[in-house]
Amino acid sequence: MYKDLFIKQPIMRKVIYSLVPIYLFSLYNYGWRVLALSAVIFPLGILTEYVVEKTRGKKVSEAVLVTCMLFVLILPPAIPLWIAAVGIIFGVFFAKEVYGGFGRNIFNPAISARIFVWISFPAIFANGFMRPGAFGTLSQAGIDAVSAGTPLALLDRGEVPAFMDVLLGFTGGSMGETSAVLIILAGIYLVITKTAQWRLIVGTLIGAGGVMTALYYSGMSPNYPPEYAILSGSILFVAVFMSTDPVSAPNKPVAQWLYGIIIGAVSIIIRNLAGFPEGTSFGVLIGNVFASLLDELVTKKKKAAPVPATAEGVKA
Amino acid sequence: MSDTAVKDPGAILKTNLWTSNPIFVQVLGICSALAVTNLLTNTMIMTVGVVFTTAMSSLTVSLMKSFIPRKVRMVVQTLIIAFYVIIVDIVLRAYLPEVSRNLGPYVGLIITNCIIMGRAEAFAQSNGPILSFWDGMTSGLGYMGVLLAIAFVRELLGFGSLFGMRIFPEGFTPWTIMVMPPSAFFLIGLIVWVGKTIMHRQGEPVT
Amino acid sequence: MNKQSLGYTIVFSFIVCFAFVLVLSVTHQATRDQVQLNQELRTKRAVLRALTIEFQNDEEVLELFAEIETVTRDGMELFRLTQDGETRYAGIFGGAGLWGPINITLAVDGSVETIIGLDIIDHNETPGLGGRIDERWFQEQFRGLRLVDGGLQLIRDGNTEGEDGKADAITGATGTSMSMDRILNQTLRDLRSALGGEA
Repeated sequence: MYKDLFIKQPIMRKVIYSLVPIYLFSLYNYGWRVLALSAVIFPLGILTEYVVEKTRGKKVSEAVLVTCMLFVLILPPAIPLWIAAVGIIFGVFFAKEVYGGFGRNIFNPAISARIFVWISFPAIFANGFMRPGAFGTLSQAGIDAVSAGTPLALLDRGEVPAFMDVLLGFTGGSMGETSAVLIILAGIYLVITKTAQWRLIVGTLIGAGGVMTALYYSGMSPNYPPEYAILSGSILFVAVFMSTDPVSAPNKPVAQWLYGIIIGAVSIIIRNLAGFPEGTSFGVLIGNVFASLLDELVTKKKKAAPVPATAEGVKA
Repeated sequence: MSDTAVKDPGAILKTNLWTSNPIFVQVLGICSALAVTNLLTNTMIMTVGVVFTTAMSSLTVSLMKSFIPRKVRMVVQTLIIAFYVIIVDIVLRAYLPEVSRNLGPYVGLIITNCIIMGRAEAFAQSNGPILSFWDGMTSGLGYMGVLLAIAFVRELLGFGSLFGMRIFPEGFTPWTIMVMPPSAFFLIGLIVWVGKTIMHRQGEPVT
Repeated sequence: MNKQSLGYTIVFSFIVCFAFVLVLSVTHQATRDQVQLNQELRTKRAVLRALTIEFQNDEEVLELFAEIETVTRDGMELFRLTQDGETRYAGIFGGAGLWGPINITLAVDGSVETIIGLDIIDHNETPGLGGRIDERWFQEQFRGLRLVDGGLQLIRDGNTEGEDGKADAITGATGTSMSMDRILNQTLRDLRSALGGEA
């Protein structure tokens, strides 16, 4: 049954394994909401891919499971279920299937899904954050909005949250992006098992860290000390799970460095200097746009020599 | 029927509304399709303006074609189109000030809508006035149909209303993205896709 | 006659331009009064809304507006309405929003201690976020709002109903809310210095 439905993809399985601890942690923080969202997102994501792939006579890729899992983890906990449904259908259909399915998509489906619902329903997103811990019983969405502010919102106001909370992940935020420790461990696992390309992760962090430090010390964005800014919000999560998406990232080493740096730098520039708080999501999408171009540029440089030579030959 | 007729009116109608629809086959006039389609009322008035302009400018070009020197042909066509667009703009400003404000510069930009120039150059220049009028009008209608379909979805989801009348109850959460131009990209994409799929099934040559 | 000759081309172009422009000018002249009336009505409607005066149609707008005097203070054109012994002032103001200018009409009492009403004439803010300054709930919270130290604050994440000098900001629209805060306070300062002599 399972074999009839899915294409086996060992790399995608490893990504899922690495996400399990983060998923469990979000389960502790937000309780049944995580399960409810998963119950909506997974079936709909798989169904969307199944319906389209069936017309092509192909099976569903296991990558869609990663997309669904990532999408669950980058949502705010108190988001209404129907919005999650709209998001995953949009993400899988428009960002992946329209381009021809697995391996052909330009944009990361989970991020596209998030951006789509975030732009569509900004007010609900802003009210969707909750105080974490004790299986989601600590606060009601909206009512306790102040104490449930994300670390970035607190930093915006000039309040600095406790460093250990930020490091361990006991802060408000999207469900899976808060625990720096778990994300770093997952990243190490992915790099060791050669699932994720370390250049992409490091590149993203260098891009983000560099711009952040520059902004902090030049006084343009003095509320964000770099060490906080990199640990809170979704920079780490994006570096480990989004930049490394093998489909939408470039393949050449130099291109990978540049790609990571673009994502990191753009994320921070948008987050701190533009009107939108969703810096990292836009950063990834903008990075995606350049992925194949970077590969192309890097390749061109190496091949540049023989091409004019042949042209000369024809002339002569 | 005019003696210069090369096609019959039925064929023109089908071509302009369907097989070479200006939006989803020729992909012309996309700028306004993105910009003005978030409210049905505005879209309706805008597209009526386009239908009027294409029909009348095709008619006028056709009537004048034997007098126009070749060197200034395009300039005269542009002048004729601009003339009708300004008429539309003046009428809107005087009698529908709210709509005129909402449409902003897009009424003036009808001039740059390639559909109109395209019909004037490709059809009216070599056909009789009545057929040209018909050709211009149906081209405009093809444009109108697609834009109204987009506006239908955008207003329904973006505001929960149709032609300003509330359809969904108060508690409805509007989809902000539908109010913004990018959503029209997705919708036009879908329309192109559906349109071409149907044409393919019907065995029409897909361009 | 040779239709491709230079002379014909020039004469033809001249006649065509002349004919079309003539028709356009006539149309423009014929509708000029109507266009002007529309613009006046827009301003008057906005002023009446800021003064929280109800109206049904355009005739009523003109009728009600007839009771309002136009005065100039510090080079500002203000609209003064005296009713039941109280004097109220309204004016058209503007400032920079997040994406473009925001133009408002604001009405205050004679001593600039209470806001009578606010109306947003036009803006280019993000739909669904900053664009919500258009919505009734946002504008109505300024009705009869008593100022504190001559100013007001837009508060994020709160429920400020019934509190003096405070109004709710728009969730998720920090940029626009900050702009509105700035525009309103600047307008109030200008009004106070302009109306300071009276009271």
